[in-house]
Amino acid sequence: MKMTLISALALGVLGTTLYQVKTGIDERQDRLQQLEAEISATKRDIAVLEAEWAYLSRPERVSELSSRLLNMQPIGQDRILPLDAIPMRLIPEFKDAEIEDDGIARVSSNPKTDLPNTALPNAPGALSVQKISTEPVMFVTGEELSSIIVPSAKPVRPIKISKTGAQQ
Amino acid sequence: MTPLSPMMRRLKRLFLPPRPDPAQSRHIAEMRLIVSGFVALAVFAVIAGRVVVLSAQDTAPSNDYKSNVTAVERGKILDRKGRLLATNLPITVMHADPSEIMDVNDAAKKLAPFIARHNEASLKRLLMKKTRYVELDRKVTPARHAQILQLGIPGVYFAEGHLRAYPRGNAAAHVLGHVDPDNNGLAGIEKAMNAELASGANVTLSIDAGVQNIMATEIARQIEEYEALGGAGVMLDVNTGELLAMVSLPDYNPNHYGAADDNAKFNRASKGVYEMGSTFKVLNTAIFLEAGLSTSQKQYEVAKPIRISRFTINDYHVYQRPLNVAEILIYSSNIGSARMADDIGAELQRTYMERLGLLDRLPLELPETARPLVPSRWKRVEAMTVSYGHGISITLPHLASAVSTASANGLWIPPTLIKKMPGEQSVRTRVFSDETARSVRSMMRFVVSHEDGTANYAEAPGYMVGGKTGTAEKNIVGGYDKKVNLTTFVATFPVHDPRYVIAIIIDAPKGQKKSGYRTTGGWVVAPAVKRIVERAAPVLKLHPVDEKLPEIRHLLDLDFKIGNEEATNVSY
Repeated sequence: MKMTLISALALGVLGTTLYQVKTGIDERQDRLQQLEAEISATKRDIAVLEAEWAYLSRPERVSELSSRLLNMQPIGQDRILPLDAIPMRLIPEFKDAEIEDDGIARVSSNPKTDLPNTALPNAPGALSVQKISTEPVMFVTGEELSSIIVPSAKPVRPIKISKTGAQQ
Repeated sequence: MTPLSPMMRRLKRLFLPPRPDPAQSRHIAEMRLIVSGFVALAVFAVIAGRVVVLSAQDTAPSNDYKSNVTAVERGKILDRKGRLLATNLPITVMHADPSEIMDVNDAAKKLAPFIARHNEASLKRLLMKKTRYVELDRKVTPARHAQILQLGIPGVYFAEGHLRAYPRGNAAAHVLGHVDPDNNGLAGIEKAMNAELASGANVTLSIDAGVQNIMATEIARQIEEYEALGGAGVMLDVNTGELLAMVSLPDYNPNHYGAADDNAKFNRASKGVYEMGSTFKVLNTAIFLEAGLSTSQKQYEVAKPIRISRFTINDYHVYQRPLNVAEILIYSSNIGSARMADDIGAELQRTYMERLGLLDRLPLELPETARPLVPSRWKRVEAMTVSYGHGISITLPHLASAVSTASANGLWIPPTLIKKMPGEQSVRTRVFSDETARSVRSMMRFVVSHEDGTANYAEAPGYMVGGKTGTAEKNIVGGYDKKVNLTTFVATFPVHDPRYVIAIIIDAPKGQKKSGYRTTGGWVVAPAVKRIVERAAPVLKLHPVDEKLPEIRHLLDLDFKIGNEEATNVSY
């Protein structure tokens, strides 16, 4: 009698498991198909968006837009300098400049000494930028050009310098 | 009654017991239960096994929406910075199975308003064909798709397809080429790299879309200003042989290839062969110096025209005093060049032209390349005319690559349209020594920077452009046409550290008032070169330099005289 019961039970368990595995597989198969369809649809969308981006970013369109909407011009050759062209000197007035907590030295708007512009012969209105720490101080463009773009306007103040540097 | 065998007797006793003995019958019942249990188990096991086998086999999808994704999508074409030049867009293709269409007349009448390329009659013809598939329309918009479904015509189906698209329009149209409706490459890179693209691989070109656009717009501007028929230009990286730009104008929109005319479809930059005129003097000078015949100080008498066989070799300007080798290049003297070529000799000249790849088709990755037209007889006369670019017709990449060899590094590197991976080695053949190339490019610098040079308009301050102008009379069947010019220019920059060579040709420019009705390279092409260099330099990460600095001047060879001045002292 015992044997019979056990067999019946085993049979029931086996049947249920089989049924569940089967339906589970079906479910997963559906999900897989759905995901695959989703992936291919997304890929299609990406391809369309990429093509649209390429279409919208074509140079003739961008140059038309920039000439209409932006007041920008190509950088003149005399505005681009190599990094070495920055004179690494300490401007005298900064020796006594007060460094505030934010690390910015506030200099009087009317400096006593005129800053010499000798080191940048090509740059109109060239800046004298002093080296205080090991890093150049300003207007360093992206590492791509590794150059300095010198604005033709008057030097910008305040100039950010490091605290440690000012003590030199 | 026959006696039973012991086995049968035992079986008989099992199923038909003689007498129900209580103890024994219980045993028998139990045995029966167990046996039938095992039988049931075996049956279920068979069913279970069958189910497992069937579900494992059940991988073929019954839904048909997946079936059209099986084809590999054609690879994309990208520029050297990964910008998209050619891609695929999903489209809906409408097709029909004529055998399923019940009323052809009705179907044709209903469908005709929705299909641009067919009318009712042509649709009727299509739908009566004895096939199972006719394509009715491509590029069906979603709205139209819905409208046609509303008609409810049996036998009309929609499938997803791919359309080859060139999102940047005209950009590099001639390089890209085009495909047929089944996506087989028919021209350009699409044809040359068809195997790779068809297998789904992307192709990355050496072309820089930014430089390409700069070159195209600047050449187009000169063509318009000088009412020329067309033009072409290439920019070559002298260290790798990669072509950063290849422009042929007029161009066309490859998305509407069928609408373009044959003139626009013709790739002047790779398939057009032209007599390059005085730009060949660059090569002549390099051969002269390399052959060790003399130094750049050697002087030639150029006052009188040379009459040889049926040719008369003349100069644009007549110089009464003898010119040295550098001056012959800078002032562009045909007479001087011809005399130099005479000293070189026809055989040696031909050998160098061969080493420079000018006698053969270039190994460019385009089906549209051309074999140069070279003199079949290469004697003294031919050597003299070839020295200033007459009697030999080559393509623009030929010229750019030969001038790169003669003026940049002395190495001939086969030009390519496919991007080289960093560190990838190029095939390099040494043709000229470093010293020769250095002298040649220093002289080319004076063509641009010296006040008596022919290409002052090419001066892009800071970028050290060296160049050579050329003007050839257009070769019209049966002789030369004096009125129609082919204007060429070739430039190497920056000359203190050569990186790029530009070669440009403008076809049949008309003299304008502001140029004094001249159509020479110095007027027609040089201004475009200046603008191209200035605009492309930031894209190419080139830094402007101060030419007066001694460390820059040291990189040039200034060991020659121009006029009475030492080259080292002449004005910049």
